[in-house]
Amino acid sequence: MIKKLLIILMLAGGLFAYDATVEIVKKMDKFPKIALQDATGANVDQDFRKKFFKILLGDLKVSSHFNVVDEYLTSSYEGTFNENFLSELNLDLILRFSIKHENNGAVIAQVKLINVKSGQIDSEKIYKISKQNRYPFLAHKIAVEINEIVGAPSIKWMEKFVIFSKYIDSKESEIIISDYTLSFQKTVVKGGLNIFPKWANKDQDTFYYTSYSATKPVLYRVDVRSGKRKKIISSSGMLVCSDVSSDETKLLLTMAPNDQADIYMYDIKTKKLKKITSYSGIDVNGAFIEDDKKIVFVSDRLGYPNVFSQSIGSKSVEQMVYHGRNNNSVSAFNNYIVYSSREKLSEFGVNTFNLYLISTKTDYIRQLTVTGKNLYPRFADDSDTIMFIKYYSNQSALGVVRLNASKTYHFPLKVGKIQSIDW
Amino acid sequence: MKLLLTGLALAMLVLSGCSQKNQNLDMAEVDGDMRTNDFTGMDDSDSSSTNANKDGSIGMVAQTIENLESDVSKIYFAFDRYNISSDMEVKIRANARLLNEQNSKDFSIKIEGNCDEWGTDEYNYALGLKRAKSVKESLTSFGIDENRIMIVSFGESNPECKDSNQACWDKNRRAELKLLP
Repeated sequence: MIKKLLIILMLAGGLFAYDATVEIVKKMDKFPKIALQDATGANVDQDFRKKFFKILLGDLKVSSHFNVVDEYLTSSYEGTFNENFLSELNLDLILRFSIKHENNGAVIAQVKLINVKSGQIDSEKIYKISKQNRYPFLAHKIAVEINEIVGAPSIKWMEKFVIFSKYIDSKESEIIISDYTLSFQKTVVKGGLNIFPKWANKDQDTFYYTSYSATKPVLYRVDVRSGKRKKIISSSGMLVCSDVSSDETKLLLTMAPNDQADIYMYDIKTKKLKKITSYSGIDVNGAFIEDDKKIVFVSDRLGYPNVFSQSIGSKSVEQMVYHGRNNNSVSAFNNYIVYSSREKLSEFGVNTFNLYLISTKTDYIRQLTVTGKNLYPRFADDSDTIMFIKYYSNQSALGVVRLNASKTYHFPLKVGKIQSIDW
Repeated sequence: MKLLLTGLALAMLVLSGCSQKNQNLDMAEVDGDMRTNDFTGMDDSDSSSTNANKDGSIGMVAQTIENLESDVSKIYFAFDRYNISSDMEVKIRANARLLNEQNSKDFSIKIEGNCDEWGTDEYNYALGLKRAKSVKESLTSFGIDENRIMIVSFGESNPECKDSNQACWDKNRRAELKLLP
């Protein structure tokens, strides 16, 4: 098996020399060529118009389902013949938008999709969002729907909220809710060390996080609508909510009630705590797989961090990854597992940490990144998109891997260092 | 500590769909504004101890603690390791002797495990905890009552040095001993 993996890795490494494209699994035969036209009135601030354009353009690119013209084009909303067809660009589609502000702070976007080949308007809609600073979600929604209209695979993950913690000083961090591009950011917890935020449900209206403000780390659940928080559990040593079951009733916690970090399952309804792993070294980062009947986790039981699995209720542990000498973070979606792996045993090296994708059903392994320090991978709620943390020398970024398109995108955080993410 | 939690109603930013021209597709809004709630004191039963007197001054006990902590050695670790090296064991033995002296034996000991910036943070918190635990076990082997000791990990959140070089990373892979009244 190892030989087979190595051959695949060598092929991947030889074919792709940069981060954006590692392996192409499948792609649409022909991407529709699309241009964006800003038809907004002159009374709307030019900077705002361009920011909106930039996010919408970026969304269409990140979708990997369009051949997107980069140029910032303007037109009237109805458009003349030339504005409607832009024949020199040989387009398939024109996405024309006009945005305006309402007195109550809302932003409205009037949008039409013009089929250049037929001359018909394929779609026309008006979108509205209540606050100006939330405009990135307006752009994301438009991109998701345009993507649906052309029949491309769903990109609804763009509408999801990202929650992350960032270090701002020693023993001090903040928890922030953002969109996937970090264009919208709202700090929701600050003061002290607040880490490992994790969405509690699919609606993304409740989250867990660990506070280090007390003597012992405490896990809280926060309702983002009311702002109310509730203490769930505390533990000496450390405490992390690593995963939430699909029915949202069970948590996988890494905690150390007896000074020893192991993985526990906590039942929200019964408040019962069940120890899942038991090892004298390090067990962390539990993630549910196979209908929540099994977990994958990171353990140093072979003398270095690696990925293992264990059925809940069983003592038997299975090694999942036979590649790498330091695989220190894992995320799972159905039968897929993504992990980060340090390429060299020393603390130095150019190719420091890369992401790899495996399946629990096959020997399939795929290298997703080839340069830099890529950590903390987390699947979207589909198996085609993975978010991760990219670290530069003094900066960090949210990274997004689009698996089918074999493309990776980075969205830098301007202030602070990203500690952990969830979405 | 000021803890700020904000009710966002973010999940309500869902647009309904309709393809007819000029149909207003407003987003559902539950609350118009982002609310801010102050949660200070929600965890009073578990709050941290303080060395300050009620009048805010630092008392004799705090001064004693400060003096003792300055004499206690930090314990450093090799890259990705949590075992105690022989030279660090010597320092732990000296720490144990100091912490069992008359003026220090009544204090509780909090061992904080720390890591360098390498690796994923969740693993680093566990690694920091193992470092703290190793120091705890070593201290008890040198005669410190284990009931005096609690351990906690700060992962990579508490660097002694913030530069990105080997000398700095060496300083950050450490366990620190704090005294509590």
